[in-house]
Amino acid sequence: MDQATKHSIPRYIVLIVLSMMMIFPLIWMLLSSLKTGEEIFAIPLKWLPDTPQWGNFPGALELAPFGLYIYNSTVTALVIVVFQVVLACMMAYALTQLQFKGKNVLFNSILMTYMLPVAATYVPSYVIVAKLGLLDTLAGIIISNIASVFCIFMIRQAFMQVPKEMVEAARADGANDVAILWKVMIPMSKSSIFTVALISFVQMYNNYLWPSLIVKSQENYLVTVGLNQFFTAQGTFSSQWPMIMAANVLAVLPLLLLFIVLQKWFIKGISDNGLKG
Amino acid sequence: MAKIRMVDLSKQYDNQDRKTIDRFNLNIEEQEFVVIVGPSGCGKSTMLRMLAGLESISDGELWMNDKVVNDIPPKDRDIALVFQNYALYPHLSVFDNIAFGLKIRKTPKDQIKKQVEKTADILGLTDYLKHKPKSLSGGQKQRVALGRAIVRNANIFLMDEPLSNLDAKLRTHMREEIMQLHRRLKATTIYVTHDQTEAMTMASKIVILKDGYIQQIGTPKEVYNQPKNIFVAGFIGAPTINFLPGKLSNEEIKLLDGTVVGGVQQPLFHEGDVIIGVRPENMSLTSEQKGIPMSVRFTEMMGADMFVHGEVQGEKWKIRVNPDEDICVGETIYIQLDANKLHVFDPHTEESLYPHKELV
Amino acid sequence: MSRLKTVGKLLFFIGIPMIPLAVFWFFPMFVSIWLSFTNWDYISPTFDYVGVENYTTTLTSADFYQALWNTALFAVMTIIPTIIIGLLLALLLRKGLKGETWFRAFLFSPWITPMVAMSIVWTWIYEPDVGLMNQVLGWFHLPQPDWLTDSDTAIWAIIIVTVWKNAGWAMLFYSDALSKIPNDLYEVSHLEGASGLQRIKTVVLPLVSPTTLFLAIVSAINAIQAYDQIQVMTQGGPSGSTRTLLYLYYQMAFEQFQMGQATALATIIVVFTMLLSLIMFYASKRWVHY
Repeated sequence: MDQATKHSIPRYIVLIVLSMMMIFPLIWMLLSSLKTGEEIFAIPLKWLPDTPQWGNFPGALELAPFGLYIYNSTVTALVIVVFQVVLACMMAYALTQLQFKGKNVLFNSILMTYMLPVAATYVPSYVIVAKLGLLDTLAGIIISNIASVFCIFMIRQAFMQVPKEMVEAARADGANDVAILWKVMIPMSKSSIFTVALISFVQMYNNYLWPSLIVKSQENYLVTVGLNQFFTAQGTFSSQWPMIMAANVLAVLPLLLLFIVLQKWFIKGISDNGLKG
Repeated sequence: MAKIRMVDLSKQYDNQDRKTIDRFNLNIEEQEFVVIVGPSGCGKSTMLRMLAGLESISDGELWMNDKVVNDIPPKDRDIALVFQNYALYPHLSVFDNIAFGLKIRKTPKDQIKKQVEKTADILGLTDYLKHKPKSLSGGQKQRVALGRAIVRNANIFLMDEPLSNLDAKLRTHMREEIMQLHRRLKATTIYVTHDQTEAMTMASKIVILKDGYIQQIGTPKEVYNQPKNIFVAGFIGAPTINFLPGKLSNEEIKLLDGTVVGGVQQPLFHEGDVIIGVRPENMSLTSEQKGIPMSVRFTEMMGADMFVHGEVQGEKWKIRVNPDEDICVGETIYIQLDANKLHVFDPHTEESLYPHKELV
Repeated sequence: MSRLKTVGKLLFFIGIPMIPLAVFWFFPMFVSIWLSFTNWDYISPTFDYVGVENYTTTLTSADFYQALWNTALFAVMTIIPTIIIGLLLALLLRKGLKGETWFRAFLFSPWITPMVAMSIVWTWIYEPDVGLMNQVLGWFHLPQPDWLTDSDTAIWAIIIVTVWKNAGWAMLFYSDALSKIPNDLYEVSHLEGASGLQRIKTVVLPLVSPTTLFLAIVSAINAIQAYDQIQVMTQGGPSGSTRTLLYLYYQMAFEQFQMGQATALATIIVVFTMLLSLIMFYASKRWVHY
C-alpha cells in the first residue's frame, strides 16, 4: 500500500465520525447517569449535566440490589466458563489426538448444533432443570450452560495448530493422555484458550433469555434480568431514568474495564483462529 | 540521453536516522541489463521500488525517457515489475492473471486474447492458461509473473530478486530464460539480487550497493578484476578472495615477514601497511623452499576443481588446485602467488590502491 | 487389554463432556420434536398425541406468516449492512494508522455490552419527542417517525440496533482476512492501473470471500435467534410488527404455555435455519474462493 494513501484526511474524518456513532450510545448512557430526569428529556438536546448527579448511583442501588445482580452475573459467568473450557479441552483433545470410528460424525453433529437455534431446546431443558430441583438457582443456570459448542470448536482449532512432533516427543517420554493434554496441548494453546474464555465470559455475562426463564426470585437475578425488570417497572417515569442509566452503567462497567485491559486478547483470538474451512 | 537517469536520488524514512539511499547516481542506456547487487538491507529493493513508483523519492531526480517522473504514478511510468514472491492473483486463472492489466485498461477482448496467447506461447505456458496459481510449480508461477510483465509492452523491466524462491537447478535454467527474453524483447532491464553469481552471469553492467551507497559500477569483468574496495573484492567471486596484511615499499609488495610476493607497475604514493588480496585461482602449489606455508583444514571436491581451505599466517585462505592432487587434512602445503594478479588495498580507507581504473 | 484402555480413554475424554451436551442439547432437541406431536400445556400431567395438528395449525396461522416475513426481513436487513459496514470499517482501519488501537476499541465496544442494557439506552434514543434520533433528524429537517410505537418503523429501529451492535464483530474478522492478503497483490494491481475501487472489487472481495460466507451464516443464525432487543424495546409489537419467529415461539411457550404448538414452531425454525445455511453454503460455491 502506497504510503501516501495511508494518512489521508478524509479517511480519518470518516473513521472519527463512525467511531463516534458506535460509541455514542455508551457515552450518552454515561452522561445520562449523571443527569436529572428533566435534563435527559430536555429539548433541545442537553449534552452535559449542570451538576453531576452522583446520587443517582446510590439511588439505583436503593431501588434494586444491582451490586448483588452484578455479583451474580460475574460469578455465574466465571464458573460456567471454567467448566466450559475444561470440558472443551477434553473433547478437543479427543477430537484431535485420539483415533476412533465415528470421529467425523461426532464432530459434524456437534458443529450442527452450533448452527441451530438454541431456543428450540429451552422447553425440555426447562423441565430438566426443574426435575433436578435447580429452578430459581444460580446452579441451575450454571449446569445448563456448561456445554459450549463454541469453546469446543475454537479450542479444537487451537489444538490442531500444536505440532505433532511435540506430542510424539512427549509420548516417547512416557506421558499418558492426561499428561499430554495438561503439559503440552494446553500450554501451547494458552493464548487461544484465554481468548476463548474471555469471549465466552462476555457472552455468558450478557445472556438474558435463558436466565430470565430459570430464575424468578430477586436474590438470584442476573444483571441482565435485573436491569430489564427494573426498566419495565420504572421506565415510564421520566424521573427514574437517571437511575436506570446509572444501573446500566454499573452493569456495563465490569465488561468495559475487562475490555480496556484485555483488548488485545479479544482481537488476537480472532486473528489466530480466523477461519479454517 | 540515457534511458534512465538517476540524479542524486535519496530516500529517507521518517522513523530512521540515516538515509536508506544516499545520493544515488546512475545512468542506464537502452537495452542494458543492469544488475543491482548487494547484501540484505543494502537498499537495493528500495531503489527498485523508487524506480517503480511504489516508494516516494525523498530527494533528487529520476528521469525516464527524458522526463522527470518523480511524481508520476507507477501505472503511467513505462515500466513492468516482476516480484520476488510472484504476486499472482490466487483466485484468477493464468490467463486472467496475465490479462488483468489489459482488462483494467479496457483493451478489447479479442486483442486481450491474442496478446495473452502470444505471451503464453513465448513462455511455454499455453497448456496452463486455465490453471490457477495453486496448481503451478515455482518456475511456472515465475513465468506467469514474467508474462504479466511482458504483456504491458513496457520498455523498462524491473525485477526484484525474481529467482530467489526457486531451487538451485531451476534458478540456473530460469536465468537463461530471462536472458533469452531480454534479448528477444530488447527491453531495458534492471535486476536486483543478493546473489553475486546471478549478477556476474547476467549483467552487462553491475552496480554494487552497500548500506545505501554505490560501491562500484562496472562490467562483470571490471568489478572482478579491478574491485574498487575491499567490500567489492570480497563480495564478488566465489569462492571469495583471500586477504592478508602486508607492506608496500619501493613498489614492492611484501608480506609481514618480509617475503616479496610481487610488485606494482606504477608509483602509488603510498608506503607502509597495506592489505593484499589474491583470488584462489591465482595461486599455485610449489615447493617448500619457494612457497608460503598453509596448514590444511579441509578440502572441497567440486569435480573439475578442488578447493583447499586452510590457514595462512593466521588468516583463513582457500586455494584452487587440480582435483588429482593428493592433499590431506592437517598437512602443510606451500603456495605461490601469481605476482601479476595481486590486489593491494589501503587498510584504513579500504580503497583499492592497485590495480584500479576510474569508472563512472 | 489395550481395547479396554481405549474405551476408557474415550469414555473419559468424550464421555464426560458429552454428558452436559447430551442432556442440554441433543436430548432436548429430540424431546422438542417429540413434544411437537402432543398437546401438552405444561401444567397438566397428562397430554394426548395430536399427530401433525400442531404443525398444520401453525402453518395456517396468520401470526406465523407475519412472523416469518418479519424474520426474513430482519435477517436480510441485518446481514447485509453488518457485512458491508464490517468490511468498510476494516478497510478504513488499515495497519499503521495513527490511533488504530483507539479506533478499533471504539468500533468494537458495542459488541461487549449486554444487549439488554443497550436496548434500554436505545429506547431513549428512539423516544419520539425528546430522543436523540428525532432531535438530530429535526436538525436536518428530515421526517421524525415514532420509531418504536409505529408499526411501520419499529422493525427498522430493531434492525438498526442489531447492526450497530454486530458491525464491530464483523470488522474484526474482516481485519484479520485483510491482513492475510499479501501486500504484493495490492502493489501489482496498483501498478497495473487499478483504481482503489477496482482493487477492492478484483482483489479484496474475492480474497475475503470465505470470511464473507462465514459472517453471512453466523449473522443469519444470530438474526434468527435475536430476542433481547425485541423483548426490551417492543415486546413483539406494535401489532406484531417486530415479532420474529423466535419471539413468537417464546410467547407461545412461556406466556401461553402451549408447549405442543411452541415446539412445533421451534422445529420449523430449526428446519428453516438449516435450509438457509445450506442454501447459502451451496450458493457460495460460485463466488467463494479458497
